[in-house]
Amino acid sequence: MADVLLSIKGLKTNFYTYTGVVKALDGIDLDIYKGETIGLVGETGCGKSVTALSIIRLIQWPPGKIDEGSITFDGKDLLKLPLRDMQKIRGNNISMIFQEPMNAFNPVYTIGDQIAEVIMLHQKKKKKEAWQDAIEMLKFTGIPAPERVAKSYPHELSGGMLQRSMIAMALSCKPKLLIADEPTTALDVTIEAQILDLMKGLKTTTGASILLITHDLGIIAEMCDRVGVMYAGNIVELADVGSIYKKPSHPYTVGLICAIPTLDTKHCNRLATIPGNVPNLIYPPPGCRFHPRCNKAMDRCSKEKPGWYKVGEGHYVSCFLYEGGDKK
Amino acid sequence: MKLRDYIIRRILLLIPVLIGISFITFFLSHMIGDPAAAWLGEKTIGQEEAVKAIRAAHHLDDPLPIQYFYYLNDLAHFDLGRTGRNEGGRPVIEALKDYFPATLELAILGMGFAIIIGIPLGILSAVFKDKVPDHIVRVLALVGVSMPIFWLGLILKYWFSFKFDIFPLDGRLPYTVLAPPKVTGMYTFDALLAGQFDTFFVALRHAILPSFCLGLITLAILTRMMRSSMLETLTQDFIRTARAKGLSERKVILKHALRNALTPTTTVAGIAFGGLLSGAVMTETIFAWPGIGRFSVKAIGSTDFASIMGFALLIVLFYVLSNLLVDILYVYLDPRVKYG
Ligand SMILES: Nc1ncnc2c1ncn2[C@@H]1O[C@H](COP(=O)(O)OP(=O)(O)OP(=O)(O)O)[C@@H](O)[C@H]1O
Ligand SMILES: [Mg+2]
Repeated sequence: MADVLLSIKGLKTNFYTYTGVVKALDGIDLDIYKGETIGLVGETGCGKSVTALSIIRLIQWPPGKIDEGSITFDGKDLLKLPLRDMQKIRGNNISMIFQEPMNAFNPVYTIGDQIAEVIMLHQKKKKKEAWQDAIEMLKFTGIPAPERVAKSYPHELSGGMLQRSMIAMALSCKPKLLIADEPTTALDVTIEAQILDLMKGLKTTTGASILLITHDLGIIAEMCDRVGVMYAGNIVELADVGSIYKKPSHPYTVGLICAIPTLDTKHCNRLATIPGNVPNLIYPPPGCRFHPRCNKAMDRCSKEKPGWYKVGEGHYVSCFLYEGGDKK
Repeated sequence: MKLRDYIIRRILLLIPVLIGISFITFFLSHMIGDPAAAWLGEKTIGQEEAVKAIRAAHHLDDPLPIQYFYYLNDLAHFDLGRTGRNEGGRPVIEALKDYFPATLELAILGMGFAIIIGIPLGILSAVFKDKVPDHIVRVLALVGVSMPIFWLGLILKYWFSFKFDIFPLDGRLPYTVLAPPKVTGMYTFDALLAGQFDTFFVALRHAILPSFCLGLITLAILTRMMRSSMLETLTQDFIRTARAKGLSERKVILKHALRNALTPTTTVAGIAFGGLLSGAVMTETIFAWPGIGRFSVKAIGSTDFASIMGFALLIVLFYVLSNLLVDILYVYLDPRVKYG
């Protein structure tokens, strides 16, 4: 797992709104390795989707803009690519599935047309061949009667079926990275389990890396190799899935894990909620953005932004409490 | 439901609508004067006997509701009554048959202008939202919807006919050109059908100013409609999906957004088409265009009830038919819509 597939460095994405500049990403650093499934967790509004959309440069201007940083993929900085080249990567090398499968397909074209479209675009195949491939992909995602589904319009299918079709579409050009932004949030529990099973299988069948975004730590535990915890536009802790549950280090992560009653809670002092509110990202707190809500905050937390400190093998925290540890 | 059944049902529904309209126009138009006197014109004075005779012959002394039932009875036999003096008393149906194609021709060409210019402008405006092209288009559209037709008509004539002589001043054809053999009654179409291209171009040149004048408001409305539905569509999730697939911005807009944004615009265009026919009254008067608009103005001027009502019924008929056409089109544009 040593090979880095995609490397994000110092990514800052801002939204220039009428009420002020929303500093949605405050310098994200993240490496995604080949073949791994990496999770991103965090409360709503912490910047998970913005991170995902920044990677494929789908932040719409106005109001959003990637102001700083680099995203290296295949030796190229995606942020510096001409749009035309970026379009050759989207849906081909890096593809994405979204939260609301019901709205993610165009209502006026059939599923088959929409999948075939991406195959024709990137693999320069003829319509007939692409359509055949589309049916193959649908079959691959475990859809019964793929021919019928291919001829259906989105409104004729269930959410679970649509999300499978979405996965089929995303995988149809054999991407190296699949970004899944809360792929099961809109689905009911049994369907969720099926979709997660399907995605778990992908790793072995396709070898693609997966960036899985969720706010559900249970899903992370089940699916991921590594996990990044996000808070208000920063990744505050990055670790193997095993060690994050065993040794949550950032006070925010501790709070997050303790908020789940079913998990082993030996690090928690019966605290189930994190006090305070998610900060306003137009006027974020200076220094560490978590300090106003942190029960271990020190003076300097409100003055400087903490760097990365190592607390274990592959386990890094961005918090002054661990300053003794090695730098990343 | 099958398409044929749907159409039949919709056409049957037309009957109560037409009866309702005939009711309203009948009672409204009978408030404007005495048709018998109008028929005789200036000769009325000292002709009380003649007036009486006409009133008796046409049931004009019966109470209005009774008169209405005579009218409905004729209507059921496709008899719209007779025109007044200025049409020589020929059947209203014949007059409408003569004048309607000219109006329809204007309306179709006007709608053509509105669609061919309005929809691309709307798209352009949405794609360049808040940039220079958007500002220009929005100002133009605002001017377009607020322009008084009679004023626009005169301005167009002044500049394009009188000053620069690009287009003829009025009428459908010069006296020196023979009308093409009648098929639809619309000179441009008939000229094409007959292969008379010279006549076609002459007829088209005559039609351009009035149809543009007639279509301008619709053009502006379609531009605004297209802009707003395009903007609305561009915020949808599936547009993000289309971009995430790696499609070019051109494909995203012209393939994925356009089809969806056209649906609401089509509805508006359908409704506007009915409006074009009735809007022709003003344009036809300005450009001396011999259509039902001008016909109706004359009918009103001479208290010609039968013609007024014939005009109103025909307009309503086309209003409803163009809406039906839109509803059918809808099913092709949006697979979520079913007949019913
Ligand atoms: N178009 C936009 N305009 C203004 N602010 C935006 C826009 N999109 C996102 N933001 C801001 O960026 C921040 C991060 O949003 P993001 O959608 O990434 O959150 P998230 O972690 O995905 O949350 P969720 O779990 O609800 O999906 C939020 O504070 C949000 O207000
Ligand atoms: Mg999100």
